[in-house]
Amino acid sequence: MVESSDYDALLVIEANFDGPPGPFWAQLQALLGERLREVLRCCKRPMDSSACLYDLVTADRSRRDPAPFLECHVIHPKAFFHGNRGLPRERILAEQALAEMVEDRLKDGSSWNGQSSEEVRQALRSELMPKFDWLGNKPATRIPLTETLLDWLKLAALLFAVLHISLVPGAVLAALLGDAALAVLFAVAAIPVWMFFNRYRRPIETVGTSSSVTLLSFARKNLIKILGALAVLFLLSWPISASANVLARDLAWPAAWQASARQLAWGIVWLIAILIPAVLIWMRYLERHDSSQDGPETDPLVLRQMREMEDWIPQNHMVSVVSLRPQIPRRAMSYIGTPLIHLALRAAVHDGYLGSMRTIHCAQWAFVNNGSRLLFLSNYDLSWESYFDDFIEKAHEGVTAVWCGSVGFPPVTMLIEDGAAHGRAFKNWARHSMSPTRFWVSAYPNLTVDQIERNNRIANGLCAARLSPEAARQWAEDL
Amino acid sequence: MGGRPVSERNLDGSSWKLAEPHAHQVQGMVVSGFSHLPISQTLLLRFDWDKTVRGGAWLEALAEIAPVTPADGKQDSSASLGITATGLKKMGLSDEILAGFSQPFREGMFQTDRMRRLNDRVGTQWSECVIDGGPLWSANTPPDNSGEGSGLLASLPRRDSVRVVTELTVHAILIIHCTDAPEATTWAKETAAVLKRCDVNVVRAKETTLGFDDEGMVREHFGFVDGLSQPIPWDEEAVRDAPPAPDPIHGIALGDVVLGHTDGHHETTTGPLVVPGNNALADPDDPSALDLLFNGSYLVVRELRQDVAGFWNDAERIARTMGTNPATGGQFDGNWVGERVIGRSMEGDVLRPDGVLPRKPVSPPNEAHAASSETKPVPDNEFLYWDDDRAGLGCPLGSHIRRGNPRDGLATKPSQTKSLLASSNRHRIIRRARKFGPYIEDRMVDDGVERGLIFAVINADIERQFEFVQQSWMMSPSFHTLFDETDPLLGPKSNFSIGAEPVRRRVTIHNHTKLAGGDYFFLPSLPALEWLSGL
Ligand code: HEM
Repeated sequence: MVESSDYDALLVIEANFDGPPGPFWAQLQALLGERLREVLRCCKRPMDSSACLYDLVTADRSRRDPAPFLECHVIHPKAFFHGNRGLPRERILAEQALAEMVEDRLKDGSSWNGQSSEEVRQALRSELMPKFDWLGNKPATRIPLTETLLDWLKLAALLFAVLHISLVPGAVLAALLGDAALAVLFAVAAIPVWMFFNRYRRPIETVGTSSSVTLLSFARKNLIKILGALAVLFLLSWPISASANVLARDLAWPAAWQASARQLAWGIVWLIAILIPAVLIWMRYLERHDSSQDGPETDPLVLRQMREMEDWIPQNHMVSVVSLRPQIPRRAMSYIGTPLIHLALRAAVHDGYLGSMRTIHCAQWAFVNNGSRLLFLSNYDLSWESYFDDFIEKAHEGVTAVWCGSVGFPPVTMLIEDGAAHGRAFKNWARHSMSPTRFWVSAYPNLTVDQIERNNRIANGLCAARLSPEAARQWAEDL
Repeated sequence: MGGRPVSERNLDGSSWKLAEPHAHQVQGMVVSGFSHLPISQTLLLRFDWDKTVRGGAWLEALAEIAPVTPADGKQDSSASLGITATGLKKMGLSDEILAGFSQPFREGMFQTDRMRRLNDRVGTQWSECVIDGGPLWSANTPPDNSGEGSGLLASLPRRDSVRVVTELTVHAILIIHCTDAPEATTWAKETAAVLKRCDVNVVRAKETTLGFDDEGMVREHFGFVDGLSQPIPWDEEAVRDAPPAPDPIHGIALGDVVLGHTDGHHETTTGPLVVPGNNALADPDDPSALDLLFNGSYLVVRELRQDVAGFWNDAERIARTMGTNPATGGQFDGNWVGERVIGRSMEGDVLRPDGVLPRKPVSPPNEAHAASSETKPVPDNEFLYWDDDRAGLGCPLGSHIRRGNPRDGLATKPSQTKSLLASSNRHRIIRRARKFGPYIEDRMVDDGVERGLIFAVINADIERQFEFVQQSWMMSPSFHTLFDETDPLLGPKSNFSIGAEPVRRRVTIHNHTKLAGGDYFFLPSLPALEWLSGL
């Protein structure tokens, strides 16, 4: 339950489950149906078409299944990070059982002296095979190639759509004006834009944390990729813009190809020389005028309630809701940036870890209250303090990118710099945005992300019929 | 005291000093382990005055007999003073000023949730790592019940809420450092008498020592060389003769040690502003206002009893179960096991897959008065783990020093080593532990004498530094992809994995260090002390 003084309390039911939603709803209904009904009776009657369903479910002595009503109110996260991706619960538990059995067989380790790692592995494999018959099979691929390709494709499509739309004004201008006029026009526009950009791109004095990664250094480091992306952008946009020329200007195809190439080239110049720096200046203007909250006060009692629930098992849970800043570019960044981050994470992260952060089971971001607030839910390992230290020390650029459009966030420079690097300010802000998690069930409460990955490596290694000495040695390091 | 070092260098060989005006203001203990003052008396004080007495009076009396020494140079003797939150309150510090101190300090070490996090107590049970019956002393900070029973949340059932009251209440800690024992004893006696007149009672006193061996190295009770690894604070302005950049391995921000300077999370702590003679928050525009926290620090103290015979008998027992050592062909022995527990050899050299890290030859001493002992090579602390011992075949992944400071070892890819070293360094602590009780005669025979470590840590952010080390590294059962095991030196009875080929050795080790008391103290700057004397 998320409480704040600006909105009515929000009941949040977070469900991370394997497989299709159908069986999930059935199980939820079987397990908690009547209690959910009681909970729903305390909720406000919705104003949309689900109101009659609400009435049916919550009516006195109703026996209607509450799940369909809840289904009407499902919000899919706009960004979802899935640790240990590709490992369903069944497999995690099976691999844990296997790893425990392996531990049991290894005992104190002394009886294996003199053997090679591969001999140890073979011995364990043949001994455990009868109990774990799946050791004979090739382990299922965690993330099928098709899925990854699809993710890349989606990411590319979204990026393409955004960039293509952005270069249209430049291309249209190119269609209307000659090269000389355009060059003058763009130069006249670009020079002040870049001057302003250079003047404002650096952090204001009290904000700078001398981050080693800046937006510009990031761009510089990825220059080849960016140039490649622009080339792809050009190639993909070409047919679109050629057809537009054929349709709108009645050109013949060969002339249309030629004309559109020129327009696109100018469009890209417009994008790089004017639009992007101009948007960044706008962002910098907003960033320099942000009202970040220096001393957010967390109600001591709420804080105690949260702390009281934390650190009983290796995993913890957190829920945070923050208001989004109102300006158009901010909202646009949040609404477009969050799905981009989602796709980028899915496409690029395959080892179950988020960079060097190895503690996140699942984390999700969603927009609630008519898109005015950002909800963040996370299941993580170890303490809240260490989780946030990880954010601050290992991933502050990403964290800043996700939350820089939120009210009160510590001062940011160029979307990814500073922000969450202001350690204590960020922690205070985050604590302030949290509500105690009242009820929380973990599918495997005693396992950390790291241990799940380790068990998986042990199991995969045991499935192999043969391993090279080096691979076997590496495998044995996990035991 | 044989060949003890006589230079001003710290025990770990580093030397960093504060620039003026900070050196005059910060307590000496922050910058120096006082290796030239190996004998000390640690006095735990309780304020017993009644309402008619001024809260700062005792500090004025103390300044006559044992003035707190600043960090501006070597002294023949030295005194350090820390005050608990309850002590400040008893001195009459107003609530609005106290509210400007950090939360862990205000709540104390034995707040319910904190005890669980530090692994001292879960629910109603003291952990095995605490002496029977619970700790003897603490600040006895009352739980903060403000707001309880009001608001929407108050109707919820509480999960865990206990109030721990220790037999002894400690309001302040006074450590006096001397060159020899008689001097320390006399001084401590005189100081106690002076304090007594102000109704400040010494409720617990320990002679604490560094204890050098013939090589000039500090040995703790189990026999290991200690005090080798310390962070090196860096600040462009406030550190004297600061090198152009922080030390690549041990460099941390000065603000992680001294409050009011830029810290590892790019922030500076500002404390409550006060003006002399007024026990209320000052006007922030008042140029004479003093930031009460500026140039102060927080001191974490844990009195840890060590069962030396228990430890070594356990080590011998484990060694016997381990059979022959394939590396030597001989039997494993207790030392071998003990060294894996620490991660360093008895002499202090870090364990590596092929033995220990060789010592670097010493460069010729540049100080004219450098003693002969300093020209001998000392254990090398300029090491990392990723390149040479990633899998823990030398220094076990779960050994005390790897848990205490994993350096770059938590990386999973070469590209991460730099950032993970940096992130480890955000949790470094300055250790100023000294031991109490005599060394044991025969380490295998329990003589019934109490001995151990007054474990003392200086840090600016108790949660991010000391508590993080204790909770997320030392006591975490899932540290470094291990499972089901905690620090073999500090934790409860648990497994301990020792990296080996073809497969790790796993032994069960019992607990031999127990918490007997402790709390969080504020180490005021000298100007802050002066202001406090005016209370
Ligand atoms: C009876 C208690 C303890 C004993 C006997 C002990 C002993 C040692 C020894 C022998 C070393 C190696 C020497 C060195 O690196 O300086 C060491 C290092 C260390 N210990 Fe302890 N220790 C104790 C308690 C603690 C506690 C409670 C903590 C923190 C929660 C701690 C944190 C550390 C750290 C951070 C290091 C340095 C690791 C490095 O930087 O490489 N120790 N200790």
